[in-house]
Amino acid sequence: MPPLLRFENVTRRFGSFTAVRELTLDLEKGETFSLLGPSGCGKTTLLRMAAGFDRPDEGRILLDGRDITHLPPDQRPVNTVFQSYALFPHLSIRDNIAFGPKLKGWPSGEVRRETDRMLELVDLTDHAAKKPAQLSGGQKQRVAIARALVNKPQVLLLDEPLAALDLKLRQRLLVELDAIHDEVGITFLYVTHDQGEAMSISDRIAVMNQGIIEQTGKPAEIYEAPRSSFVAAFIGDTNFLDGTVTTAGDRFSRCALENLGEIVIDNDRTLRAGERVHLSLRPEKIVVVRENPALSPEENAIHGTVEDVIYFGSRTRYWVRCGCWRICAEMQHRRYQLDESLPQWGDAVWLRWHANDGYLLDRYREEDEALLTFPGEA
Amino acid sequence: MKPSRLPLVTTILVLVFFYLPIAALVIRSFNASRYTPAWKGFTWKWYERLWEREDLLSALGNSLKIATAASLLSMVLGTTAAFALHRHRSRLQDFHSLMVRVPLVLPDILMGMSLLLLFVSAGVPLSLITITLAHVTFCLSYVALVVLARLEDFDFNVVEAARDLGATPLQAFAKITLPMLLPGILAGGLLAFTLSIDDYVITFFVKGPGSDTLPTLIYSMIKKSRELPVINALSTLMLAITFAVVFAAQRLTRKA
Repeated sequence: MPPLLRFENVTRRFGSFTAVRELTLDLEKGETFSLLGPSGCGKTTLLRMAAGFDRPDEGRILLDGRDITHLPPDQRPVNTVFQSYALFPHLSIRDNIAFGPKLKGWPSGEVRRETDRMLELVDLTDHAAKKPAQLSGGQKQRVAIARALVNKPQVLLLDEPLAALDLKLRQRLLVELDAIHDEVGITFLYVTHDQGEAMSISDRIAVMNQGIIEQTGKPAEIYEAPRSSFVAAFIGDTNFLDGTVTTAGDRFSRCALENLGEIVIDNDRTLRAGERVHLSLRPEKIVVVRENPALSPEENAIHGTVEDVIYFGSRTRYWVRCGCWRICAEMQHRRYQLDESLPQWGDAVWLRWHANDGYLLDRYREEDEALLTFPGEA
Repeated sequence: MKPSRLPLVTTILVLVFFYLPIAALVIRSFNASRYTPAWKGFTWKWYERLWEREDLLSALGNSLKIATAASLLSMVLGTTAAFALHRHRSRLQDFHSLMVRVPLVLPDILMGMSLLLLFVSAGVPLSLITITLAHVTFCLSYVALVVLARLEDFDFNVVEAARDLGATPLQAFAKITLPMLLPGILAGGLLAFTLSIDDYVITFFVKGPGSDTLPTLIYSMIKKSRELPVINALSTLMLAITFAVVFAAQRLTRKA
């Protein structure tokens, strides 16, 4: 099946700044697809080009096989939910929602029926006669969603729709949005800088940085198998380890870290001895133990001293000094934790992980370390 | 600490300074005495006189026509100017912005003179139309500034939202932008109306023979002292109209 929405070699420049660079992206029908990236990465520009508020300098945008690159916004079967809601302040909630259908000349009975259905979908039937100024932030955002959805767009474009709301409300609306998506079955293109939002709502995510897509994949793929240091550091937290391959094995290879000895790494590609490799190791994959553990050949254990401890209630985060490395590890507290004695500041500990838990990066850039909670020192 | 009384006292003094002369005028317009300020009893007769004066009624008609036309024209032009000033930032627009503000402080004499020169050298006969055009020149600035202030906190995303929902540029303007800006435009228009209706200096330069407005007529009547009570009554009426319009303009700007 051809993709529903396709960006083909799209480039957009603003003066000397290239916001989007030769980008190609396909959206499948019915999926929730997120564009995730820091501000200025080009995700909003891409969304605005899909909506028709902006035109690419090069490349094409296809919707259901049709070239819509130069179609004005009012002629595109897509609708947008704006970050600032952009509700019409002089119209009632009902008239806000009915705005699109009335313009399209739907019969008045149908306008009324569909508007009622949308009001019900977003649970605002009791507020239909109010003006936007009388609603709370969360309610306004639900009106914005209803106002866009009532037009039955082929793609719903959401531009940071929850960014202006507080955390609890954001989480609640995220669940509602997901339920709405399941109910209407429309393709969502969701732009956000919040990795948590993207992970929880998306079928697939494209991580963007500096106008290009760093990686596209299911949330779990993005998280577990980041291809670049940017993706690894932008989504969740991680440790970057780099070393030189000493012995290249069939399934596992050995790799020497600077003044720390050798570790086992998963060999998911053809590594050669002497090759330099960069590894992303998520904090929660590392187990912090006091005793030197008995290891299987695919497991690693390195010795270090606890430098910092942050207790989060459900989990504890440790920063452990291992030679010239400072490694972050995180432990979930699955059991009643007061009976255990957790490692404290200054304790000597072992960090243990399986070779499969580290992931080899295709691309590593040193500046991406700045994205980590505590940039590592090597 | 007890709050200081000084602000209250100052306020009262300022109000007295402003409104005592006006109060005197209003009171005298109801005074039965024709020549002296001494109170000779309450009367409506000066107001009744007003209706018998053909010249006054025709001047009133002229003033209303000019003020209506000038404020409508400056609402259209001022709004357009405000949009241009808001949407496009360039060196030319900085100059435009300055040019829009200057008429607010430019001496009326200068504007009147230059307009007269322009009309005469262009061979335009002086009439109600020249007065209207002259009034537009300064009214426009006020409308532009009031609308510009509204545009500063106008969320242009709503225009994109309208386009996104299927509105053509024209429909988006008619259904969203214009209704949202209308209070500001009307407030500017009402302000323009009050400015136009009481303008003397500029009108004096560009009016043709026989096309008197209320202010120019009042000025010529003032030379005859027996007319004074009628002028008082007329001025009181104008005062009432101006207050009503300013009050309406304030309501409009506060509302949205």
